[in-house]
Amino acid sequence: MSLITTLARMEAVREGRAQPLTTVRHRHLSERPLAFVPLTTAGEAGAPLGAMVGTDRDAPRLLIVAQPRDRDLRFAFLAELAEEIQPYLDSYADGIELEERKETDPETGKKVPVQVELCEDAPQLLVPSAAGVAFVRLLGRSMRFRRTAEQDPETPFPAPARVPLLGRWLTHYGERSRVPGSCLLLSLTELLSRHWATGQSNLEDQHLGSLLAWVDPPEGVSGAEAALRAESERDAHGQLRCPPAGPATDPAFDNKLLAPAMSRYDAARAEASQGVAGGEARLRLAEEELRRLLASQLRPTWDALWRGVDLLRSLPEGARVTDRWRRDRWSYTGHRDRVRAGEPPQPKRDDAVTAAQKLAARETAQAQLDAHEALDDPLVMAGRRLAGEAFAGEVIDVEMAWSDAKVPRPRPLVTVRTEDRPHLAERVKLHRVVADGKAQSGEFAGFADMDGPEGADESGESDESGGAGGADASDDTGASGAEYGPGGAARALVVRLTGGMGRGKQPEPGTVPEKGDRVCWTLFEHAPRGGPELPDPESTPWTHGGPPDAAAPAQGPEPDPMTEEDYL
Amino acid sequence: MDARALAALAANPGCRRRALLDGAGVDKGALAQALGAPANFGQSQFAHQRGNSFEARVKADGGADLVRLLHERLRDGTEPPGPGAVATPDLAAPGPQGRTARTALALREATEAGRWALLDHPMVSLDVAGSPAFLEPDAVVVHPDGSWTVVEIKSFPMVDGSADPAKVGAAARQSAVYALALERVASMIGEPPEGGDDAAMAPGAAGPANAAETAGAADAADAAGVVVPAEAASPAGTAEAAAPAEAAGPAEAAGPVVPAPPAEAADAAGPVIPAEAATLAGTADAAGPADAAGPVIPADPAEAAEAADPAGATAPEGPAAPAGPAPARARVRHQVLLVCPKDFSNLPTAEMVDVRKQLAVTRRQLDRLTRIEEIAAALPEGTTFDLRLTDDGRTPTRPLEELTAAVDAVDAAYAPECLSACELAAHCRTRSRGAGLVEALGRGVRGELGGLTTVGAVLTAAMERSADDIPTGDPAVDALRRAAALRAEALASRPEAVACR
Repeated sequence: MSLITTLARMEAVREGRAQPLTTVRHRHLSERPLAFVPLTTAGEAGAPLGAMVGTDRDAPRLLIVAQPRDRDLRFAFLAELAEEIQPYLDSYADGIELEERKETDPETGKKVPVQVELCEDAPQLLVPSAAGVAFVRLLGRSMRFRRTAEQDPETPFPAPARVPLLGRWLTHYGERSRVPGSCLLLSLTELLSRHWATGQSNLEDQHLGSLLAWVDPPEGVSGAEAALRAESERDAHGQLRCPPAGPATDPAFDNKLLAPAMSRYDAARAEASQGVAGGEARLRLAEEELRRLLASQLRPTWDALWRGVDLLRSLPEGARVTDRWRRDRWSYTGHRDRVRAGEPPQPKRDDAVTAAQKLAARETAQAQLDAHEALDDPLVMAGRRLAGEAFAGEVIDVEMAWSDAKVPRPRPLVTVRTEDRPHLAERVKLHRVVADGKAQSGEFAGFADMDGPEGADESGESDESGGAGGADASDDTGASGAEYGPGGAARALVVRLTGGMGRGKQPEPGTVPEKGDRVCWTLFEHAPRGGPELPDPESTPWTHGGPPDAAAPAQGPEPDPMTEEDYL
Repeated sequence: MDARALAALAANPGCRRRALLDGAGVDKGALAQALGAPANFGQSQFAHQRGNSFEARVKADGGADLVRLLHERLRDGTEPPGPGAVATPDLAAPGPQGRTARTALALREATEAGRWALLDHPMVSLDVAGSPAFLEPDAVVVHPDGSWTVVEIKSFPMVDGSADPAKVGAAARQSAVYALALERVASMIGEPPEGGDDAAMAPGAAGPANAAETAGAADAADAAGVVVPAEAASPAGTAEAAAPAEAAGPAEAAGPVVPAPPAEAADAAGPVIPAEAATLAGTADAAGPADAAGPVIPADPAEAAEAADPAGATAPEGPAAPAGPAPARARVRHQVLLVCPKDFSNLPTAEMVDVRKQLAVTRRQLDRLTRIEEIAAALPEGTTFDLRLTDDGRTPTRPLEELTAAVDAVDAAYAPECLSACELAAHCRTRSRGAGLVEALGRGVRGELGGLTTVGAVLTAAMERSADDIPTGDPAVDALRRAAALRAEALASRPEAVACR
């Protein structure tokens, strides 16, 4: 946690309500997201208990598994879930726009432009908490290798075609959610805690109810008190008033309410199967009771999820969010194409090259997200400035200069007065955004006297000491970065512009800041690029397992074996 | 105290409150309830059933499957254990001391036998802040080469060979505690037995905790007296040997650490700590009858018997005929076997987990734990955590203020991580927040705040004067001022004032 976030948390403690960490919303929120609130059986992997799902906050669809130990009921639940989610996912597949992309022609080896489809919008899944995201991945894994009757007439438990299909989609969404800044699958706790600092720890922020209590406490109640209630207030029967956001249920609910209701259900089911008079009716009643119980656990979280969405919508969207959402649309379109092309489900384990590619992509996305958020949001930038990764200030002097090349290029020297303490060394690359949104590069040329900036000549010496001093400072103070040494406030830094001024001998108008302008330079790149390309799978180095075995038939992965006895 | 609690205690070695309450065997859950801040702990019966049925399945078949699984993971090219190759010694014995002794004996025998053996739910003990804690691993496997592997059976799934890292981490920490306790047993077994003088060597050979140092304090005659039945020369004899230990008094695993008058000692939740506790605990005077209820130092008959009986038992031929040279090869492997359900089935799968790091951390943290006597010595005289339950044992009658004062008499080191590990965390959190301590926001927060320890002090330092003011020279304060100024500047520049709602 950075110092500025820590400070915001302490302000939240003092104010009794959450304090903003951002001035804009840094994640895309769909017009019509699909909310998914799952519940799972305690201690059991992939045995869902129920779910609330839908795009209409007033009309959620409740799905339950009356007896999670019954494989047929579980499979029926998954089929129903697929009925709910798959049409939503498919509904975005056909609204497309055409994009031009360069592709290498396999025959000539030249790059040729081709028209490719890009979906205009993409479906967005919202879950209450990070555990919900993990559950989506788990569901995806448990469903995508299921066999349909068509694929394998012998399979003992054939699944409707939608089940493995949804499994592949959920896997894709789960995988995508690991890319920083992606918005196909989001959890409300992450969303809210990105935008607000509460007066409690990160750990406690994992509880959606308690997090919301801080962000939007009821009238006349402090956030701390409301959060405590949300976390632990129990009714006369010992049940939580604000059930956990799942997917795990509260043990008290399991033991006191759910288990007895399930026993009644089992008994009624046994009677019904034996044809005892009235058994069917009792079975319906028992199932209805279970539905009511699970709804009582799901509905508060469902409402909390939508309340969180409302709060987030009240923030204006950051300028670069659309750019990143476009990547999500590409991701969605790409998976749509793979499904349409009949490719097999995602493998259980990635091969070395795919895994390395994913990691590299996530690193690039993280760097890009960090840059985007800072550029979109002065409050995030303030954190980077405090950390010595950027500085902002007023231009106090501009001196024209040119490079020594045969064709001289403009290399103006801009003196900026700033109170920030960036980690600068000689010729450190600097970046800033020009008025038209383009990036301009520069480099640090030294410190200048505050009274009369002399330009580059004198900056050499001060540069040395300044640079060295800066480096020492960062070693000493470590975490908080910049040092606030004696002498205090403002310093003047000289920046030599190295780009973004057009092609001519004279810089294009508007590309060089003028005296009195406010400018903000960053030490980080604005559009960070990934590392070098990775080798083809065929040339995987032996250190990473070597090339895939060509002799092995490229067949789809085996479905999970079914054990004779059921789970539990 | 179980291994999970121990791992949690080791994760927060600075918490004197927890060290004292755990060491004294106070029911923290009941205490938290009485304080009006109950913990949100509990286990679902579904998870419980699932855990039990999975463990039963893993150990079915006399442990042969489990040992096969372990052998498979070892990939050491040795012969797989054939049918009937796995010994499963009977570990039944009354009381935790008895079971610990029985386990030590079984381990020794199995190590000497040079064959596979599975110890199902053995019991080992570990000295925690000066008092013994008894631990029960799911299983321990003895290899033919005399090394031991801790087996941890968990019911979270291993999907495609990987499991939830947080849960694996917790399991590894827990296993490390077992491995640590086993290492002590191994080191004792490794010592060559000294033929005739059984009584003298007895406590050192097998006693848990600080048995070696108490060897002198323990009454030799006493120890020898208890060894006698063990000469009956059979494993059954050990069980008998353990019996006197039990009979000696309610020597409970988590009995009060600090010697207390018998009346209070009977109530585990409310040990009275006499002011002279520190001195008491260190001396042999403590070996009075009151001590039998669970003293710190195994200087009383009950403990001595417990310490002695493995020794007696390890010499089945009797002291007169010295046992053959004990193998010095007994050692605990630093890789534990984590057994989980495979994917979505209930078939077991396993992975070796290296716990060297967790072992080192746990060992270091346990060493750092302040000795309980020291904590107790600092308490006001007469401090007790007795809830004064009504006769039905349900309703505490102790006034809340009194109880709160008693709990507050010993310092806590609250951090949010406590919430998932300690029953008393909700209470400590309230107190920590009430005092405005910055750790309530997370342990990492302290790092950048230098000497500022309360939220109020931080906010004052940040807001009191502007950042342009002359630097104070305190880097934390200057950085905070700067942060506050930057934050205020950015918030003022918001396009439209977004209400924080």
